[in-house]
Amino acid sequence: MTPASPRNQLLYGTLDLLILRTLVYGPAHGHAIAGHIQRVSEDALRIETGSLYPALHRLEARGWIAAKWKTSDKGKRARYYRLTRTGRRQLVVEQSRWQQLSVAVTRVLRPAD
Amino acid sequence: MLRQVLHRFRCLWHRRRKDAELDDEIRFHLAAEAEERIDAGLAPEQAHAEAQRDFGNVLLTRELSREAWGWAPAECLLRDIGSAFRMMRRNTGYTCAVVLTMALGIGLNAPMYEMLSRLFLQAPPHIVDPDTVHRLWVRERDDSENRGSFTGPAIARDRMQWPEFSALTAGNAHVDAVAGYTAPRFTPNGRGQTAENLRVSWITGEFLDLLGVEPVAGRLIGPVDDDLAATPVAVVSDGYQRERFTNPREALGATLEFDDVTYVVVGVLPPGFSGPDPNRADVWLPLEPAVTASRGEYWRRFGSGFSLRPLVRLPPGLTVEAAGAAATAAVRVARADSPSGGSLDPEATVVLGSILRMRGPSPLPGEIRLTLVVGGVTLLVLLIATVNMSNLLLVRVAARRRELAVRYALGAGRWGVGRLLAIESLVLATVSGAAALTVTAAAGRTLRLMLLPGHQQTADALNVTAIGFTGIAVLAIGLCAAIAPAVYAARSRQIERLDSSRGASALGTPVRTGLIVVQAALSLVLLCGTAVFYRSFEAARQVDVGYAKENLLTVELGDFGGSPLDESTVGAMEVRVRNLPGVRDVAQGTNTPMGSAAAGGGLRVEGHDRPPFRYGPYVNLTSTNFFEVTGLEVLEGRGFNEWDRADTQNVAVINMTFAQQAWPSRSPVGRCLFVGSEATDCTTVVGVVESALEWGLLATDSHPVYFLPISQATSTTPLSMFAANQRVLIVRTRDHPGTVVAPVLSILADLFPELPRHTVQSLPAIFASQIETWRIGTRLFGASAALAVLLAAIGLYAVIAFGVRQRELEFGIRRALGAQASRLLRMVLTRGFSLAAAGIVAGTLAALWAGRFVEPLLFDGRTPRDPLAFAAAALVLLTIAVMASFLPARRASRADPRQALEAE
Repeated sequence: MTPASPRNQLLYGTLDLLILRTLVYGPAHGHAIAGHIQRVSEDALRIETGSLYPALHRLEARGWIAAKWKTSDKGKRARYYRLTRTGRRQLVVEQSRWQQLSVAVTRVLRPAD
Repeated sequence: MLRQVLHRFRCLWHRRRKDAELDDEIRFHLAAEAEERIDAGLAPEQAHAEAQRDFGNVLLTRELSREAWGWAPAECLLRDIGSAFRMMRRNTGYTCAVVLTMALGIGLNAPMYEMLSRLFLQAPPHIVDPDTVHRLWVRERDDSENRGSFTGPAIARDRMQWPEFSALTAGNAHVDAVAGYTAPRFTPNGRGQTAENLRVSWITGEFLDLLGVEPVAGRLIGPVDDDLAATPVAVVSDGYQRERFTNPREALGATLEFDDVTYVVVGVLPPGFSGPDPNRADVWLPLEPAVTASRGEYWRRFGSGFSLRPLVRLPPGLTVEAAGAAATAAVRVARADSPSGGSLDPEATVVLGSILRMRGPSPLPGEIRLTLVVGGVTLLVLLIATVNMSNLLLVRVAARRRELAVRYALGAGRWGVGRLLAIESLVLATVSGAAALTVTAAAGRTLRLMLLPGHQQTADALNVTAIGFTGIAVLAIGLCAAIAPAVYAARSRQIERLDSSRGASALGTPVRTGLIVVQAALSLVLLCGTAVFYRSFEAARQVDVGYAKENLLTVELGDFGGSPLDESTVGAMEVRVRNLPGVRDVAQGTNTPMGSAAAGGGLRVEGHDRPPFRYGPYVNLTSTNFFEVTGLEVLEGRGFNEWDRADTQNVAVINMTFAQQAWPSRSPVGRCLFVGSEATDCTTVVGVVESALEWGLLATDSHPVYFLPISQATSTTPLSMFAANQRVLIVRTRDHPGTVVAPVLSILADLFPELPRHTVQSLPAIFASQIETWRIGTRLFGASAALAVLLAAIGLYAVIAFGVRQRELEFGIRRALGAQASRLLRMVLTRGFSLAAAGIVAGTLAALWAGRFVEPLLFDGRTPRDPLAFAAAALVLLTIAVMASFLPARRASRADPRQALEAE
């Protein structure tokens, strides 16, 4: 009923890819995922929480990641997400799609080469 | 894929827990964020505030995350369903009325549909490849004038006499198989009052094999059994077996006794099997032994009165026309070859029809027509219920104009609002459907027994067909009823503004009034039907059948085993019955009034070379007090008296019909009848009595009858044999004859232990069965019309009340400007009146058109376009309409001018 917000659409797909890729290193909660992406991208990518949690729940609904409540290293209960087998397969698909896209974009930007 | 679906369902199921979890998750995120900032050196308070700010809109995040769970549409649906139930609760009275009518409408239509589909659409169960099985119809003309020329109207009958049937089997090698059967007839199993009356059908040896039915136990009747030399066997229906045995195997070997022949049960047929007709049968017997035992050995001849219904199964490649031509040839040859076949139309043709008898070329019998009309009536009730429901939704839409306007303003599409209305409508229909199943279960069986009493009933009224019908009806009605409100809602989108004031014109009124007019029109049709049927019923009830029928009971003696009656036992019976309390008098005769008549052939009438009668004449040998007891009035001359003895002049009394046909212009008293073809002795006509109606209720149903005193039926008269074998006691009672049935039966058990119970019958009961069609018609139409009128009244009330509420301010202003209360009252009443009047005009036209369907059912060719009936129906509807608009009208007339002025 409510149309998807533009912010959501901007990162659509890309955010999914980033989340899936992050989870390759092992289960993590939402806050840790956002922090990891931010750190690895050297603060170039800031994940907005307004997009992160809907994306996590969407991926869970699709069966690519699974969630479980666990106690965090700081002793609090947190919702940990892990990659499922279909999620792993999806990661490969998304990664190759991203590479194709980035190659294409690069070609457009530098047509002379 | 499956996992995703499961996941979604889990989400839906644990919605509350998921919500809490999402909150926990977000809380954890905020805490972790704040902690990071505290670690970086911020004060806890500031850290929390910053974390909160960075997170952004928590509500929106939560909303978007929930959406990802994928049950947003489902949630919408639940919300809509919830709102539909709230709507129903708020409008309790109207909802109840709608659900009640819908339940009755659907609940009565379901068994009706099932009944009609079994008559006209579905082949009877357990018949293999029913499309290749055909019924043979003989189309022929009657020699009604008895002049040797066949000029009567062509009539198709699915019956053949034995010589014609056997010609089919002998000469018609083209068809795969030919079989014959008789329609099930009540026959007592054994003798005496405990003998059970079973529905027995006689079948040829090929019959069951031709249909392809498989027994559930034992074997079928085959060609070897259809032989006088074979051991008599029988097969029984599943229903018969169930009533008496615990399992089908137990029924095998049981014995049955019909017409003094003992049959051994060798097979049980499957549940629901009733042969090619829907008429229920309990027992099937092989034709040869059964007919011979019942009819004597002459049944194979033309004119024996025995006929059977033929069936054929066509092989692939043989057309219906070719088979019909072959059968026609066979029947014509059979008629030409036999001397007595000459009394039948030699030009008869045979036509092959569907196995479904009702589709055959002959016109529909009355009971089926009545069933069709009842089907139409229940459909009308359903239609009214649908219109009503549509109206309820419309009123709701009108009342929610603001809500809808807000929804539109917030961007809800036409589609969304339409969906909401469709869901409300479907919820209402579903609730009604559930109630309808209760109605079907409760009334379905009764309805079927009332309309088609002799038909094979499925065990449960709530069967697959009925439930399927209910489901489809609920869906169709739910969607149909939503159309008008949805169109209105969509239209109001363009007109409606958020600031619409209360004084705005009542939108949707044209649609709503239109629906009210339709409803009123349909109600009028039903009211007219009631009135028309009631008039027929009353006319039929008041028919003077000649007999003073109210206090008559008849006891049929004799006609068993063919042995002559013992006169002393008959006399003893008469004396004992006469001495019963409540009995006035007892007479004797040879015919049962309104039951049977014996053809008194071989009669010569003075002045005529051949009998001057179209049908008959019939003869009745009676005791001397017969006319006093039965109430037949002597119109001319005298009745019998004690001087009419064996040694005095032979006398006769004739009825008026006899007199008019034999001696139209002269007095019959003193003329001669010659009883017996060789008789030369004059039997003097001494009196004329009024004509009684024996089988029908119309004046044209009376037949010529002559009466002779039993005392003169001595061995010298040809009719003595007849009198010795057949006797009926006619009992005149003081009160309703039902009260003396039990003592009469006990006397009967004493003196005539072989006779079955049904030899005792009361005339009021016989008469009631004759006017049953009109009774059922009046009741059904009356009940439907009452329901329809009630609904129309509720609908009219709702529309007028709504209009008045909308115009309350206007009425107040009118009052303030000096309008009189009575004037306002009249204004609103006129509105209700004019709506009803429009309905009456439309309904009259509809009723005039629909009259053709009930016309054949009415008594004595009465017209369904009866002005008096129409006037009465219109009057009832107008009265109801004025009554329904009175309450809102009174409110309008009491509108408070002060309130109106304050509001302005």
